[in-house]
Amino acid sequence: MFQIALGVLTAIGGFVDIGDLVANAETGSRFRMALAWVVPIGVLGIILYAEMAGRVAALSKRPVFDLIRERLGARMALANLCASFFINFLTLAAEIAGVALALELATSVNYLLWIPLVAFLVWFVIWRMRYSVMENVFGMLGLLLITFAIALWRFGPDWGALLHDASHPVVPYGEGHATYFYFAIALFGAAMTPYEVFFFSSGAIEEHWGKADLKIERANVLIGFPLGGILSLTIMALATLVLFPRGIQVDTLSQVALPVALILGKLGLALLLVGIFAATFGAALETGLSSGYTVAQYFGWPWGKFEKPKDAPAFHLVMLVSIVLGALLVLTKVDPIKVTEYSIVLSAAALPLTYFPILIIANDPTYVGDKVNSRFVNFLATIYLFILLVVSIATIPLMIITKGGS
Amino acid sequence: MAGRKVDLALNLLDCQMVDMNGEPCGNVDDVELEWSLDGGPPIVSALLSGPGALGPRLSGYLGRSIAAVHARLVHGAAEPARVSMGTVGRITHQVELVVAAQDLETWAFQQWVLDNVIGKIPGSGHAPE
Repeated sequence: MFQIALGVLTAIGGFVDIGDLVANAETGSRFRMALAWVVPIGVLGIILYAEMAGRVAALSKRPVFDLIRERLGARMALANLCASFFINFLTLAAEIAGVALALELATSVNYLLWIPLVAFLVWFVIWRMRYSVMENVFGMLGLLLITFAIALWRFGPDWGALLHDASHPVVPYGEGHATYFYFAIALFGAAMTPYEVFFFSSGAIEEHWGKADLKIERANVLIGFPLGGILSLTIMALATLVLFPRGIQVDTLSQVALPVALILGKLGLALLLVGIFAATFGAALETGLSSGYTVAQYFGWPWGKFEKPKDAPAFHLVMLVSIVLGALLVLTKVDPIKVTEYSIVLSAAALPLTYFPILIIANDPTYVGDKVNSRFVNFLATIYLFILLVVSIATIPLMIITKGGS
Repeated sequence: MAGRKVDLALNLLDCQMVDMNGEPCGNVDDVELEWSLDGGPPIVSALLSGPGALGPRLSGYLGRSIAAVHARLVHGAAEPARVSMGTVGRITHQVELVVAAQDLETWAFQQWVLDNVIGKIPGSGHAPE
Protein backbone atom coordinates (compact mmCIF):
# COMPACT_ATOMS: atom_id res chain seq x y z
CA MET A 1 0.00 0.00 0.00
CA PHE A 2 2.82 2.36 0.98
CA GLN A 3 4.64 1.42 -2.21
CA ILE A 4 1.57 2.21 -4.34
CA ALA A 5 1.04 5.55 -2.60
CA LEU A 6 4.69 6.46 -3.02
CA GLY A 7 4.62 5.42 -6.68
CA VAL A 8 1.47 7.42 -7.39
CA LEU A 9 2.84 10.52 -5.69
CA THR A 10 6.14 10.37 -7.57
CA ALA A 11 4.23 9.76 -10.82
CA ILE A 12 2.33 13.05 -10.31
CA GLY A 13 5.51 15.04 -9.72
CA GLY A 14 7.29 13.07 -12.44
CA PHE A 15 4.61 13.81 -15.00
CA VAL A 16 5.17 17.58 -14.91
CA ASP A 17 8.53 18.78 -16.23
CA ILE A 18 9.78 21.96 -17.92
CA GLY A 19 7.90 21.03 -21.12
CA ASP A 20 4.53 20.79 -19.34
CA LEU A 21 5.14 23.99 -17.35
CA VAL A 22 5.94 26.02 -20.46
CA ALA A 23 3.39 24.45 -22.82
CA ASN A 24 0.43 24.74 -20.43
CA ALA A 25 1.19 28.29 -19.29
CA GLU A 26 1.88 29.45 -22.84
CA THR A 27 -1.28 27.95 -24.35
CA GLY A 28 -3.36 29.34 -21.48
CA SER A 29 -1.93 32.82 -21.97
CA ARG A 30 -2.62 32.78 -25.71
CA PHE A 31 -5.63 30.50 -26.30
CA ARG A 32 -7.37 30.54 -22.90
CA MET A 33 -8.79 27.03 -22.30
CA ALA A 34 -9.32 26.36 -26.02
CA LEU A 35 -6.56 23.72 -26.09
CA ALA A 36 -7.53 21.99 -22.81
CA TRP A 37 -8.91 19.01 -24.78
CA VAL A 38 -5.37 18.06 -25.83
CA VAL A 39 -4.25 17.30 -22.25
CA PRO A 40 -6.58 14.32 -21.60
CA ILE A 41 -5.72 12.92 -25.05
CA GLY A 42 -2.01 13.17 -24.20
CA VAL A 43 -2.53 11.64 -20.75
CA LEU A 44 -4.43 8.64 -22.13
CA GLY A 45 -1.67 8.24 -24.73
CA ILE A 46 1.16 8.17 -22.20
CA ILE A 47 -0.83 5.75 -20.01
CA LEU A 48 -1.21 3.31 -22.91
CA TYR A 49 2.41 3.71 -24.02
CA ALA A 50 4.01 3.50 -20.55
CA GLU A 51 1.91 0.51 -19.54
CA MET A 52 2.87 -1.40 -22.72
CA ALA A 53 6.56 -0.49 -22.36
CA GLY A 54 6.60 -1.49 -18.67
CA ARG A 55 4.90 -4.83 -19.41
CA VAL A 56 7.25 -5.61 -22.31
CA ALA A 57 10.32 -4.78 -20.19
CA ALA A 58 9.16 -6.69 -17.10
CA LEU A 59 8.24 -9.87 -19.00
CA SER A 60 10.89 -10.02 -21.73
CA LYS A 61 13.65 -8.63 -19.41
CA ARG A 62 14.99 -6.76 -22.42
CA PRO A 63 15.47 -3.02 -22.83
CA VAL A 64 13.60 -0.92 -25.38
CA PHE A 65 16.44 -0.14 -27.78
CA ASP A 66 17.65 -3.75 -27.85
CA LEU A 67 14.12 -4.75 -28.92
CA ILE A 68 13.83 -1.90 -31.41
CA ARG A 69 17.08 -3.01 -33.02
CA GLU A 70 15.97 -6.61 -33.18
CA ARG A 71 12.63 -5.61 -34.71
CA LEU A 72 13.69 -2.87 -37.12
CA GLY A 73 17.16 -4.13 -38.07
CA ALA A 74 20.50 -2.38 -37.53
CA ARG A 75 20.01 0.39 -40.11
CA MET A 76 16.46 1.58 -39.32
CA ALA A 77 17.17 1.29 -35.60
CA LEU A 78 20.28 3.45 -35.99
CA ALA A 79 18.24 6.21 -37.67
CA ASN A 80 15.70 5.83 -34.85
CA LEU A 81 18.50 6.05 -32.27
CA CYS A 82 19.89 9.26 -33.81
CA ALA A 83 16.46 10.96 -33.79
CA SER A 84 15.56 9.78 -30.28
CA PHE A 85 18.95 10.67 -28.87
CA PHE A 86 18.88 14.18 -30.36
CA ILE A 87 15.40 14.95 -29.01
CA ASN A 88 16.27 13.53 -25.61
CA PHE A 89 19.39 15.73 -25.67
CA LEU A 90 17.32 18.87 -26.37
CA THR A 91 15.01 17.90 -23.50
CA LEU A 92 18.00 17.39 -21.18
CA ALA A 93 19.32 20.85 -22.10
CA ALA A 94 15.88 22.37 -21.48
CA GLU A 95 15.57 20.69 -18.06
CA ILE A 96 19.04 21.91 -17.00
CA ALA A 97 18.03 25.44 -18.04
CA GLY A 98 14.73 24.98 -16.17
CA VAL A 99 16.52 24.15 -12.91
CA ALA A 100 18.82 27.15 -13.43
CA LEU A 101 15.85 29.46 -14.13
CA ALA A 102 14.10 28.29 -10.95
CA LEU A 103 17.30 29.10 -9.03
CA GLU A 104 17.46 32.51 -10.72
CA LEU A 105 13.91 33.30 -9.60
CA ALA A 106 14.76 32.27 -6.04
CA THR A 107 18.11 34.08 -5.80
CA SER A 108 18.12 36.83 -8.49
CA VAL A 109 21.45 35.44 -9.67
CA ASN A 110 21.44 35.10 -13.48
CA TYR A 111 20.55 31.59 -14.65
CA LEU A 112 23.64 31.39 -16.86
CA LEU A 113 25.77 31.38 -13.72
CA TRP A 114 23.74 28.51 -12.26
CA ILE A 115 24.00 26.27 -15.31
CA PRO A 116 27.52 24.86 -14.67
CA LEU A 117 26.62 24.06 -11.06
CA VAL A 118 23.31 22.44 -12.04
CA ALA A 119 25.00 20.35 -14.74
CA PHE A 120 27.64 19.23 -12.25
CA LEU A 121 24.98 18.25 -9.68
CA VAL A 122 22.98 16.29 -12.25
CA TRP A 123 26.11 14.38 -13.25
CA PHE A 124 27.17 13.90 -9.63
CA VAL A 125 23.83 12.43 -8.56
CA ILE A 126 23.98 9.95 -11.44
CA TRP A 127 27.62 9.14 -10.71
CA ARG A 128 27.43 8.78 -6.95
CA MET A 129 23.96 8.71 -5.39
CA ARG A 130 21.61 5.82 -4.84
CA TYR A 131 19.12 6.70 -7.48
CA SER A 132 16.01 5.09 -5.96
CA VAL A 133 16.33 7.42 -2.96
CA MET A 134 16.83 10.51 -5.12
CA GLU A 135 13.90 9.52 -7.31
CA ASN A 136 11.58 9.51 -4.31
CA VAL A 137 13.01 12.71 -2.82
CA PHE A 138 12.58 14.67 -6.05
CA GLY A 139 9.21 13.04 -6.73
CA MET A 140 7.86 14.08 -3.32
CA LEU A 141 9.28 17.62 -3.51
CA GLY A 142 7.83 17.88 -7.01
CA LEU A 143 4.43 17.53 -5.37
CA LEU A 144 4.86 21.13 -4.19
CA LEU A 145 3.71 22.02 -7.71
CA ILE A 146 0.29 21.54 -6.12
CA THR A 147 0.76 25.20 -5.18
CA PHE A 148 -0.64 25.87 -8.69
CA ALA A 149 -3.89 24.14 -7.68
CA ILE A 150 -4.04 26.00 -4.33
CA ALA A 151 -3.57 29.31 -6.16
CA LEU A 152 -6.37 28.47 -8.59
CA TRP A 153 -8.69 27.57 -5.72
CA ARG A 154 -7.82 30.76 -3.80
CA PHE A 155 -8.45 32.84 -6.93
CA GLY A 156 -12.01 31.52 -6.87
CA PRO A 157 -12.65 31.38 -10.60
CA ASP A 158 -16.02 31.00 -12.28
CA TRP A 159 -15.63 27.22 -12.77
CA GLY A 160 -18.60 27.07 -15.13
CA ALA A 161 -17.02 29.64 -17.44
CA LEU A 162 -13.69 27.79 -17.45
CA LEU A 163 -15.44 24.54 -18.28
CA HIS A 164 -17.47 26.25 -21.01
CA ASP A 165 -14.26 27.69 -22.42
CA ALA A 166 -12.66 24.25 -22.48
CA SER A 167 -15.66 22.45 -23.97
CA HIS A 168 -16.39 25.08 -26.65
CA PRO A 169 -12.91 25.77 -28.04
CA VAL A 170 -12.64 28.98 -30.07
CA VAL A 171 -9.40 30.31 -31.54
CA PRO A 172 -9.04 33.79 -29.97
CA TYR A 173 -8.93 36.91 -32.13
CA GLY A 174 -5.44 37.56 -33.47
CA GLU A 175 -4.31 33.90 -33.46
CA GLY A 176 -4.35 31.74 -36.59
CA HIS A 177 -5.50 28.14 -36.94
CA ALA A 178 -1.96 27.03 -37.85
CA THR A 179 -0.59 28.39 -34.56
CA TYR A 180 -3.51 26.82 -32.71
CA PHE A 181 -2.65 23.36 -34.03
CA TYR A 182 1.08 23.95 -33.58
CA PHE A 183 0.49 24.51 -29.87
CA ALA A 184 -1.85 21.52 -29.77
CA ILE A 185 1.14 19.43 -30.91
CA ALA A 186 3.38 21.09 -28.30
CA LEU A 187 0.94 20.20 -25.49
CA PHE A 188 0.59 16.67 -26.83
CA GLY A 189 4.38 16.23 -27.01
CA ALA A 190 4.79 17.61 -23.49
CA ALA A 191 2.36 15.03 -22.09
CA MET A 192 3.75 12.08 -24.09
CA THR A 193 7.50 12.66 -23.69
CA PRO A 194 9.33 9.54 -24.93
CA TYR A 195 12.22 9.76 -22.44
CA GLU A 196 9.81 8.71 -19.69
CA VAL A 197 9.36 5.43 -21.53
CA PHE A 198 13.12 4.75 -21.97
CA PHE A 199 13.68 5.59 -18.33
CA PHE A 200 10.71 3.64 -17.06
CA SER A 201 11.39 0.42 -18.95
CA SER A 202 15.13 0.43 -18.24
CA GLY A 203 14.33 0.85 -14.54
CA ALA A 204 11.90 -2.07 -14.75
CA ILE A 205 14.71 -4.36 -15.95
CA GLU A 206 17.28 -3.16 -13.45
CA GLU A 207 14.89 -3.50 -10.55
CA HIS A 208 13.91 -7.00 -11.76
CA TRP A 209 10.21 -6.36 -12.07
CA GLY A 210 8.01 -9.42 -12.27
CA LYS A 211 4.30 -9.98 -12.69
CA ALA A 212 3.50 -8.72 -9.17
CA ASP A 213 5.27 -5.41 -9.81
CA LEU A 214 3.20 -4.93 -12.94
CA LYS A 215 0.09 -4.42 -10.81
CA ILE A 216 1.80 -1.68 -8.81
CA GLU A 217 3.09 -0.14 -12.02
CA ARG A 218 -0.40 -0.12 -13.52
CA ALA A 219 -1.78 1.62 -10.42
CA ASN A 220 0.99 4.26 -10.56
CA VAL A 221 0.33 4.97 -14.20
CA LEU A 222 -3.48 4.87 -14.01
CA ILE A 223 -3.75 7.16 -10.99
CA GLY A 224 -0.53 9.22 -11.12
CA PHE A 225 -0.61 10.35 -14.75
CA PRO A 226 -4.25 11.59 -14.76
CA LEU A 227 -3.54 13.56 -11.57
CA GLY A 228 -0.45 14.98 -13.29
CA GLY A 229 -2.72 15.91 -16.21
CA ILE A 230 -5.11 17.75 -13.88
CA LEU A 231 -2.14 19.63 -12.43
CA SER A 232 -1.17 20.64 -15.99
CA LEU A 233 -4.69 21.93 -16.58
CA THR A 234 -4.56 24.09 -13.43
CA ILE A 235 -1.42 25.75 -14.86
CA MET A 236 -3.34 26.44 -18.06
CA ALA A 237 -6.37 27.76 -16.12
CA LEU A 238 -4.20 30.15 -14.07
CA ALA A 239 -2.62 31.51 -17.26
CA THR A 240 -6.12 31.90 -18.75
CA LEU A 241 -7.36 33.86 -15.72
CA VAL A 242 -4.29 35.95 -14.89
CA LEU A 243 -2.05 36.25 -17.96
CA PHE A 244 -4.53 36.31 -20.90
CA PRO A 245 -6.58 39.36 -19.73
CA ARG A 246 -3.37 41.34 -19.19
CA GLY A 247 -1.97 40.38 -22.56
CA ILE A 248 1.12 38.79 -20.92
CA GLN A 249 2.80 36.12 -23.07
CA VAL A 250 5.04 33.46 -21.63
CA ASP A 251 8.62 33.94 -22.72
CA THR A 252 10.40 33.27 -19.45
CA LEU A 253 9.83 30.91 -16.54
CA SER A 254 8.92 33.85 -14.29
CA GLN A 255 5.68 34.34 -16.23
CA VAL A 256 4.76 30.71 -15.57
CA ALA A 257 5.09 31.44 -11.84
CA LEU A 258 3.56 34.94 -11.96
CA PRO A 259 -0.09 33.94 -11.32
CA VAL A 260 0.94 32.06 -8.16
CA ALA A 261 3.02 35.02 -6.93
CA LEU A 262 0.10 37.42 -7.49
CA ILE A 263 -2.46 35.20 -5.77
CA LEU A 264 -0.50 33.57 -2.93
CA GLY A 265 2.35 36.02 -2.38
CA LYS A 266 5.90 35.25 -1.34
CA LEU A 267 5.32 32.03 0.59
CA GLY A 268 3.32 30.52 -2.26
CA LEU A 269 6.01 31.50 -4.75
CA ALA A 270 8.74 30.00 -2.53
CA LEU A 271 6.90 26.66 -2.31
CA LEU A 272 6.25 26.71 -6.04
CA LEU A 273 9.91 27.33 -6.83
CA VAL A 274 10.97 24.34 -4.72
CA GLY A 275 8.41 22.30 -6.66
CA ILE A 276 9.69 23.54 -10.03
CA PHE A 277 13.29 22.93 -8.96
CA ALA A 278 12.54 19.35 -7.90
CA ALA A 279 10.41 18.51 -10.94
CA THR A 280 12.94 19.83 -13.47
CA PHE A 281 15.93 18.38 -11.60
CA GLY A 282 14.23 14.98 -11.47
CA ALA A 283 13.53 15.22 -15.21
CA ALA A 284 17.15 16.26 -15.87
CA LEU A 285 18.29 13.05 -14.12
CA GLU A 286 15.84 10.97 -16.15
CA THR A 287 16.85 12.49 -19.49
CA GLY A 288 20.55 12.26 -18.55
CA LEU A 289 20.19 8.54 -17.81
CA SER A 290 18.05 8.06 -20.94
CA SER A 291 20.85 9.41 -23.14
CA GLY A 292 23.08 6.61 -21.84
CA TYR A 293 20.33 3.96 -21.97
CA THR A 294 19.45 4.49 -25.63
CA VAL A 295 23.02 4.39 -26.96
CA ALA A 296 24.26 1.57 -24.70
CA GLN A 297 21.23 -0.59 -25.46
CA TYR A 298 21.59 -0.13 -29.21
CA PHE A 299 25.27 -1.15 -29.16
CA GLY A 300 24.78 -3.89 -26.57
CA TRP A 301 27.08 -2.25 -24.00
CA PRO A 302 26.74 -2.76 -20.25
CA TRP A 303 24.46 -0.09 -18.74
CA GLY A 304 22.58 0.65 -15.55
CA LYS A 305 22.17 3.14 -12.76
CA PHE A 306 23.28 0.51 -10.22
CA GLU A 307 26.46 -0.45 -12.11
CA LYS A 308 29.84 0.78 -10.95
CA PRO A 309 31.05 3.31 -13.52
CA LYS A 310 34.14 1.19 -14.17
CA ASP A 311 31.92 -1.74 -15.18
CA ALA A 312 29.97 0.40 -17.70
CA PRO A 313 32.50 3.02 -18.85
CA ALA A 314 31.03 3.85 -22.27
CA PHE A 315 27.51 4.21 -20.79
CA HIS A 316 28.88 6.72 -18.29
CA LEU A 317 30.86 8.51 -21.00
CA VAL A 318 27.72 9.06 -23.11
CA MET A 319 25.90 10.56 -20.10
CA LEU A 320 28.85 12.75 -19.14
CA VAL A 321 29.26 14.10 -22.68
CA SER A 322 25.48 14.66 -23.05
CA ILE A 323 25.26 16.62 -19.80
CA VAL A 324 28.30 18.78 -20.68
CA LEU A 325 27.06 19.48 -24.22
CA GLY A 326 23.52 20.15 -22.94
CA ALA A 327 24.89 22.70 -20.47
CA LEU A 328 27.02 24.30 -23.21
CA LEU A 329 23.99 24.54 -25.51
CA VAL A 330 21.97 26.56 -22.96
CA LEU A 331 25.07 28.57 -22.00
CA THR A 332 25.12 30.02 -25.54
CA LYS A 333 22.26 32.29 -24.34
CA VAL A 334 19.88 30.52 -26.71
CA ASP A 335 16.34 31.19 -25.40
CA PRO A 336 15.65 28.31 -22.97
CA ILE A 337 11.91 28.59 -23.50
CA LYS A 338 12.45 28.13 -27.27
CA VAL A 339 14.66 25.07 -26.62
CA THR A 340 11.85 23.66 -24.47
CA GLU A 341 9.24 24.32 -27.17
CA TYR A 342 11.33 22.68 -29.90
CA SER A 343 12.09 19.68 -27.68
CA ILE A 344 8.40 18.94 -27.01
CA VAL A 345 7.22 19.61 -30.56
CA LEU A 346 9.95 17.38 -32.03
CA SER A 347 9.19 14.74 -29.36
CA ALA A 348 5.63 14.63 -30.67
CA ALA A 349 6.88 14.25 -34.25
CA ALA A 350 9.24 11.40 -33.33
CA LEU A 351 6.76 9.44 -31.19
CA PRO A 352 5.85 6.79 -33.81
CA LEU A 353 9.54 5.71 -33.94
CA THR A 354 9.37 4.17 -30.47
CA TYR A 355 5.63 3.73 -30.06
CA PHE A 356 5.14 1.53 -33.11
CA PRO A 357 7.79 -1.12 -32.27
CA ILE A 358 6.52 -1.29 -28.67
CA LEU A 359 2.95 -1.79 -29.89
CA ILE A 360 4.08 -4.68 -32.13
CA ILE A 361 6.13 -6.34 -29.36
CA ALA A 362 3.33 -5.96 -26.79
CA ASN A 363 1.27 -8.20 -29.10
CA ASP A 364 3.97 -10.85 -29.61
CA PRO A 365 3.69 -13.88 -27.26
CA THR A 366 7.39 -14.74 -27.76
CA TYR A 367 8.21 -11.61 -25.73
CA VAL A 368 5.32 -11.19 -23.29
CA GLY A 369 3.85 -14.72 -23.04
CA ASP A 370 0.12 -14.68 -22.30
CA LYS A 371 0.18 -10.99 -21.30
CA VAL A 372 -0.36 -9.70 -24.85
CA ASN A 373 -2.49 -6.58 -25.35
CA SER A 374 -6.21 -7.02 -24.79
CA ARG A 375 -8.54 -6.17 -27.68
CA PHE A 376 -9.58 -3.00 -25.90
CA VAL A 377 -5.98 -1.84 -25.50
CA ASN A 378 -5.25 -2.65 -29.14
CA PHE A 379 -8.35 -0.74 -30.24
CA LEU A 380 -7.19 2.37 -28.36
CA ALA A 381 -3.54 1.86 -29.33
CA THR A 382 -4.44 1.68 -33.03
CA ILE A 383 -6.38 4.96 -32.81
CA TYR A 384 -3.34 6.51 -31.13
CA LEU A 385 -1.00 5.17 -33.78
CA PHE A 386 -3.13 7.01 -36.33
CA ILE A 387 -3.07 10.22 -34.25
CA LEU A 388 0.72 9.96 -33.83
CA LEU A 389 1.24 9.53 -37.57
CA VAL A 390 -0.94 12.57 -38.38
CA VAL A 391 0.92 14.64 -35.75
CA SER A 392 4.26 13.43 -37.04
CA ILE A 393 3.45 14.43 -40.65
CA ALA A 394 1.92 17.80 -39.67
CA THR A 395 4.63 18.97 -37.25
CA ILE A 396 7.41 20.22 -39.54
CA PRO A 397 5.09 22.01 -42.03
CA LEU A 398 3.26 23.70 -39.12
CA MET A 399 6.58 24.65 -37.56
CA ILE A 400 7.62 26.36 -40.81
CA ILE A 401 4.24 28.04 -41.51
CA THR A 402 3.95 29.46 -37.96
CA LYS A 403 7.68 30.25 -37.69
CA GLY A 404 7.87 28.14 -34.54
CA GLY A 405 4.56 29.33 -33.11
CA SER A 406 5.38 33.04 -33.04
CA MET B 1 30.69 -26.43 -31.06
CA ALA B 2 30.64 -28.04 -34.46
CA GLY B 3 27.54 -29.23 -36.20
CA ARG B 4 25.09 -26.72 -34.74
CA LYS B 5 22.65 -25.22 -37.24
CA VAL B 6 21.72 -21.58 -36.87
CA ASP B 7 19.55 -19.17 -38.83
CA LEU B 8 21.97 -16.27 -39.20
CA ALA B 9 19.43 -13.51 -39.69
CA LEU B 10 16.99 -14.77 -37.07
CA ASN B 11 19.22 -16.10 -34.29
CA LEU B 12 22.52 -14.30 -34.61
CA LEU B 13 22.59 -10.94 -36.37
CA ASP B 14 21.84 -7.97 -34.09
CA CYS B 15 21.58 -10.25 -31.05
CA GLN B 16 22.90 -9.21 -27.67
CA MET B 17 26.01 -11.07 -26.44
CA VAL B 18 26.29 -11.61 -22.69
CA ASP B 19 29.31 -12.89 -20.79
CA MET B 20 29.52 -15.70 -18.22
CA ASN B 21 28.02 -13.37 -15.56
CA GLY B 22 25.16 -12.23 -17.76
CA GLU B 23 26.75 -8.81 -18.38
CA PRO B 24 26.11 -7.33 -21.83
CA CYS B 25 29.24 -7.32 -23.99
CA GLY B 26 28.28 -6.03 -27.42
CA ASN B 27 25.95 -7.05 -30.20
CA VAL B 28 26.53 -9.48 -33.03
CA ASP B 29 27.03 -6.97 -35.83
CA ASP B 30 28.28 -9.43 -38.41
CA VAL B 31 29.56 -13.02 -38.65
CA GLU B 32 32.69 -14.57 -40.10
CA LEU B 33 32.06 -17.55 -42.32
CA GLU B 34 34.42 -20.31 -43.35
CA TRP B 35 33.77 -22.55 -46.33
CA SER B 36 34.32 -26.19 -45.63
CA LEU B 37 36.60 -27.95 -48.13
CA ASP B 38 34.16 -30.76 -48.93
CA GLY B 39 31.65 -28.26 -50.35
CA GLY B 40 29.19 -28.38 -47.48
CA PRO B 41 27.34 -25.36 -46.05
CA PRO B 42 29.50 -22.51 -44.72
CA ILE B 43 30.49 -22.67 -41.04
CA VAL B 44 30.26 -19.68 -38.68
CA SER B 45 33.81 -19.35 -37.35
CA ALA B 46 33.44 -16.14 -35.34
CA LEU B 47 31.01 -13.39 -34.33
CA LEU B 48 32.06 -9.85 -35.22
CA SER B 49 31.13 -6.82 -33.17
CA GLY B 50 31.50 -3.05 -32.99
CA PRO B 51 31.65 -0.29 -35.60
CA GLY B 52 34.33 -2.18 -37.55
CA ALA B 53 31.73 -4.83 -38.30
CA LEU B 54 28.59 -2.67 -38.36
CA GLY B 55 29.97 -0.06 -40.77
CA PRO B 56 30.73 -2.39 -43.68
CA ARG B 57 27.42 -4.19 -43.15
CA LEU B 58 25.31 -1.04 -43.47
CA SER B 59 25.32 0.08 -47.06
CA GLY B 60 25.59 3.62 -48.40
CA TYR B 61 27.00 6.81 -46.97
CA LEU B 62 26.09 5.97 -43.36
CA GLY B 63 27.92 2.63 -43.43
CA ARG B 64 31.01 4.09 -45.15
CA SER B 65 31.24 6.93 -42.62
CA ILE B 66 31.02 4.57 -39.64
CA ALA B 67 33.72 2.36 -41.15
CA ALA B 68 35.90 5.40 -41.95
CA VAL B 69 35.61 6.87 -38.45
CA HIS B 70 36.42 3.50 -36.91
CA ALA B 71 39.45 3.01 -39.19
CA ARG B 72 40.76 6.46 -38.24
CA LEU B 73 40.27 5.88 -34.51
CA VAL B 74 42.11 2.57 -34.44
CA HIS B 75 45.00 3.87 -36.58
CA GLY B 76 44.23 1.97 -39.75
CA ALA B 77 43.96 -1.54 -38.31
CA ALA B 78 40.21 -1.59 -39.02
CA GLU B 79 39.65 -5.21 -38.06
CA PRO B 80 36.37 -5.69 -36.19
CA ALA B 81 36.34 -7.17 -32.69
CA ARG B 82 36.21 -10.95 -33.09
CA VAL B 83 34.52 -13.43 -30.76
CA SER B 84 35.54 -16.98 -31.55
CA MET B 85 32.73 -19.55 -31.79
CA GLY B 86 34.66 -21.65 -29.27
CA THR B 87 33.59 -19.23 -26.51
CA VAL B 88 29.89 -19.43 -27.37
CA GLY B 89 27.71 -21.39 -24.97
CA ARG B 90 23.96 -21.36 -25.44
CA ILE B 91 22.17 -19.37 -28.12
CA THR B 92 18.72 -18.26 -27.01
CA HIS B 93 17.32 -14.85 -27.86
CA GLN B 94 20.81 -13.76 -26.89
CA VAL B 95 24.25 -15.27 -27.34
CA GLU B 96 25.64 -16.55 -24.03
CA LEU B 97 29.43 -16.66 -23.87
CA VAL B 98 31.45 -18.76 -21.43
CA VAL B 99 34.17 -16.15 -20.79
CA ALA B 100 34.27 -12.82 -18.90
CA ALA B 101 33.44 -9.60 -20.80
CA GLN B 102 36.82 -8.08 -19.88
CA ASP B 103 38.66 -10.89 -21.72
CA LEU B 104 36.93 -10.22 -25.05
CA GLU B 105 38.11 -8.03 -27.91
CA THR B 106 34.78 -6.18 -27.64
CA TRP B 107 35.96 -4.82 -24.27
CA ALA B 108 38.81 -2.88 -25.93
CA PHE B 109 36.65 0.23 -26.48
CA GLN B 110 35.26 0.11 -22.93
CA GLN B 111 38.82 -0.31 -21.61
CA TRP B 112 40.00 2.70 -23.64
CA VAL B 113 37.16 4.84 -22.24
CA LEU B 114 37.93 3.55 -18.74
CA ASP B 115 41.69 4.24 -19.00
CA ASN B 116 41.35 7.66 -20.60
CA VAL B 117 38.21 9.18 -19.08
CA ILE B 118 36.01 7.34 -16.62
CA GLY B 119 38.82 5.71 -14.60
CA LYS B 120 40.39 9.14 -14.01
CA ILE B 121 37.31 10.49 -12.24
CA PRO B 122 37.28 9.80 -8.47
CA GLY B 123 34.71 7.24 -7.41
CA SER B 124 34.56 5.22 -10.63
CA GLY B 125 35.06 1.99 -8.71
CA HIS B 126 32.14 2.51 -6.36
CA ALA B 127 28.56 1.61 -7.05
CA PRO B 128 26.20 4.58 -6.52
CA GLU B 129 25.10 4.74 -2.90
